[in-house]
Amino acid sequence: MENIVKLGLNPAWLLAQLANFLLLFLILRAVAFKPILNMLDTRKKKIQESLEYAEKVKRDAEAQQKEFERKLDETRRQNQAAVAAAGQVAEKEGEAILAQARAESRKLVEQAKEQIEYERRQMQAQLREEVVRLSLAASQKVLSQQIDEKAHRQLVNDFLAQTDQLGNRN
Amino acid sequence: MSSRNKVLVIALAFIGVAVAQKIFIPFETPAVSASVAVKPETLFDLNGFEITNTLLTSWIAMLVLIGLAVTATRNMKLVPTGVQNIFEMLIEAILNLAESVGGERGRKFFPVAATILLLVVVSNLLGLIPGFGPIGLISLEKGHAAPAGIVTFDIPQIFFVEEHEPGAPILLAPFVRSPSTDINFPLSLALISVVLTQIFGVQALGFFGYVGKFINVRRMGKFLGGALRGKAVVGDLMYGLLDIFVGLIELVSEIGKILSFTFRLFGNIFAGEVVLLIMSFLFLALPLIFYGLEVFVGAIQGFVFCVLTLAFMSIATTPHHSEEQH
Repeated sequence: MENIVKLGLNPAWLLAQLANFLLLFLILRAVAFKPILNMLDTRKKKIQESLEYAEKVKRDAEAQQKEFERKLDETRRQNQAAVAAAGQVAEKEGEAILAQARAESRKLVEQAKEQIEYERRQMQAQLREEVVRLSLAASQKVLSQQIDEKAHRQLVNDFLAQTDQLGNRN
Repeated sequence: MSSRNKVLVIALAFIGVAVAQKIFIPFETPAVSASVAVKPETLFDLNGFEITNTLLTSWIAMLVLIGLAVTATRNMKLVPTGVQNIFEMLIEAILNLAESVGGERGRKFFPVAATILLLVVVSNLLGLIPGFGPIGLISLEKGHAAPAGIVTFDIPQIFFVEEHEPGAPILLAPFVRSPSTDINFPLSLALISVVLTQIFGVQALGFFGYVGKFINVRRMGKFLGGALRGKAVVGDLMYGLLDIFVGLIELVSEIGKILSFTFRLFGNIFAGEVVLLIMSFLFLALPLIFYGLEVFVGAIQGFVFCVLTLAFMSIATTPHHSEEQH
């Protein structure tokens, strides 16, 4: 026992060291260990959650990408169809316009022809009238009033009718 | 440069430093002798309670640790920076150690093991800080000046230190001395470690389950029961005696743990200080090597104390199945 005391063993100092340790233990546990362990756990959980979230976001993004591509394809196809349809419609319309234009021009030509015919007829009629008058005048002079005018006119008309018939026959 | 040349150069450098030291820094103060005192030196006397330098150092160590812990956890962030980061890494490393030794019970053992580790390492390293050793109290005879080479300051006479006896060697009592060199410190840690181990053991296995490890009379009872009914089995008697003997050995080993904890820490650190003291009287460069060694030893001893505490706690809380196995 004496030897232990010589080593410096002293109940007061021992108690002081025990009290020191207890104090330090309590303070460190309150100040450091509990908050840090909580923090470590929180961080662990947070990291895990973040990783899971990132994974989810990645999956979502991939799904969205696929969805987007699908929609893009669909739109492209729709566009193509629309363009094709539009082309067909335009072609049809163009044809219709063309046809209308043709018909119109034909009608115009026809009208013009009719006009010409009409004018020609009129001209013919006038010409006949003129021929009748001229031949009347000429024959009056030649015949010197041997026949009256009424009979004469009848004569010429008959003659013209004959020539008409001849002309038509030709 | 070949390795042999390197060794030569280093050896020459050592000799050169030693010679230079002898020439330029004469350390010849015969009045002051190097003291190797096992007992911690008393610095102040507070109403009969002597405050020793080791006690003062353990207070400083506590302050350092508490300061560090407060600084680290004062403004805790989820993304740690600076002191918080370093301290958290340290705590996490100790926690991983506790969980690797103690398994799921590691968290229960962790606070006390971590406190032991931190306190021992910090207080060991504090005692090693250069310059602290030579600063301390020195008691002089009244009217006598200090020996040459020693600078003295008067301190207020609030604290009374024993009168210096005429003719006795003048001894310096450093303010800072590693608490591990005071047997009270390792003994207190050992007591805490071993007592807590028993408490955890009782908590985990129940009082009779735990005490049954030390006083194992189950098979002896079986033998006696058999003997009363006239069917004494010799094997039971033998195993019964063996169990009792093993229990006694376990009991002694628990007490031995206190001693081994105490003297492992005390012996290592005290011897280290003595080695450093002796080396500093040899020549300059040699203490440097031993200083590095002592830093290592100081840290390792804290680690060993912590790991052994964890291991003993882990063993004490593990149920024993020795009876069922036979």
